[in-house]
Amino acid sequence: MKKEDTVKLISAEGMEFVIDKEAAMVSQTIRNMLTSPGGFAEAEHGEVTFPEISAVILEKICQYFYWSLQYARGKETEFHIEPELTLELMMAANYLHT
Amino acid sequence: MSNQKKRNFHIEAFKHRVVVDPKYAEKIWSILEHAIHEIYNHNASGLSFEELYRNAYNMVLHKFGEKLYSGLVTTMTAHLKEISKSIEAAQGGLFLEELNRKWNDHNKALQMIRDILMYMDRTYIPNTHKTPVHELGLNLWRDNVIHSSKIQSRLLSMLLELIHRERTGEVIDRGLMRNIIKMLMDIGSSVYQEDFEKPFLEVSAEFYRRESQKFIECCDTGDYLKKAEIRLNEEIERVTHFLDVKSEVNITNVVEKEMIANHMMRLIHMENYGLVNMFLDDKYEDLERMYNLFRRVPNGLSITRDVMTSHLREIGKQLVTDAEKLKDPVEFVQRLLDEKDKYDNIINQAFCNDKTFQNALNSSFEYLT
Repeated sequence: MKKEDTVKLISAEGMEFVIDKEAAMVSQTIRNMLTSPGGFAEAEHGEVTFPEISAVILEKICQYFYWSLQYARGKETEFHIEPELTLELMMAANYLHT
Repeated sequence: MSNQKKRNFHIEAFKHRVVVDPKYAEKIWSILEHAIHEIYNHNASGLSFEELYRNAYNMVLHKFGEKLYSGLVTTMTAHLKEISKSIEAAQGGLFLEELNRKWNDHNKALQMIRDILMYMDRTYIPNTHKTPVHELGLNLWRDNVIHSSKIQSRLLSMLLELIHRERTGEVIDRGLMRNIIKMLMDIGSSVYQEDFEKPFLEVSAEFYRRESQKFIECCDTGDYLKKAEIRLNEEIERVTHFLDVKSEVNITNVVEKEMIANHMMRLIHMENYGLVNMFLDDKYEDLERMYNLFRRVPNGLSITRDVMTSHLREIGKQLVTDAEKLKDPVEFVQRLLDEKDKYDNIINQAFCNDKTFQNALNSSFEYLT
């Protein structure tokens, strides 16, 4: 993956996930973050820190991004969510507008 | 061995703070307020979008949306008042440039603010039926800058003056005009109409009233029509370059009324140069121009048709009395046919083959025979 097409998402614990920009922009919030005029720090450095999202949840979210892109292209598969993650996942999804 | 133990549902404690303490809200708000200041001062690169977004998100989530919204209104209004002062302070020609620059700054800031307050836009605002952030920003700009007493009249007079200068032949900065006019259109079409278009049309009417008076005193019909056509095309071109496309029909109506409709009779009946003379002298170009201009005004063509009809009857009467003197039927018929041909051509080439004129021509000749 070319560096310019990726973005780094960092969880509360400091775990880093490098994913495609296209995947990250499934989240409206991240999309706005990266495309907002005026050069906020995130767009400049290509990395976003989420101090209130844990690594487990963030990992699941990244998986969701990729699943969502696949779904958009027509391949329908089930997105499996472990029940104990549900609540935090919903909160994070609400936050990220996904 | 039993199957895997049933997974115990483990609801973990909320990681988010569930503090409903107003001091907490105060703290978050001051962070956001500071950010808005920095945005307006072009200092946004040090800010973290995520942090601001999260703060706004938490405020709304914990039911402090009202505080956030009213804080936004207050802060933005204060900034706009300051911006207003700096625009007022600009000298002469720089006024429009300064206004334009500040408008661009405001738009950029507004977009950034809307992005960080996106959660409020999505949830709090639809619930309370308040104005969304972007629209709010435009309204505040309108109320505090455009409608500020010192700016409103100065803006209008500068715009009108520049248009006047262009009409008298000067070159003006069309790009700047286009941006300013577009700003008025973005704020609201009623602002464009009330603050600009209405006075623009009034001033234009006055201008063309005076100009047509001047021309009609010194020009013959052909020249006058040439000038009128030039002005009309000029106005249309001006609209395409920097006015709202909807204004085209309004301004052309003004020109048509002042330059053409008001002087129509005088133009048609002008001695030695009027419509009849154009027919006699085969002035195809002038006739075509007259047709194209007169068709734009009410009754323009019907009056033209009537004059043509009575002229043809005159010719007819002439021919008939001449024929009686000549006593040569062939000659009479020949000349009749020649006249018919001539007018057929005129209608064909200059009058766009207009059926109503064709009919008038035919009925005139039937009247003769």
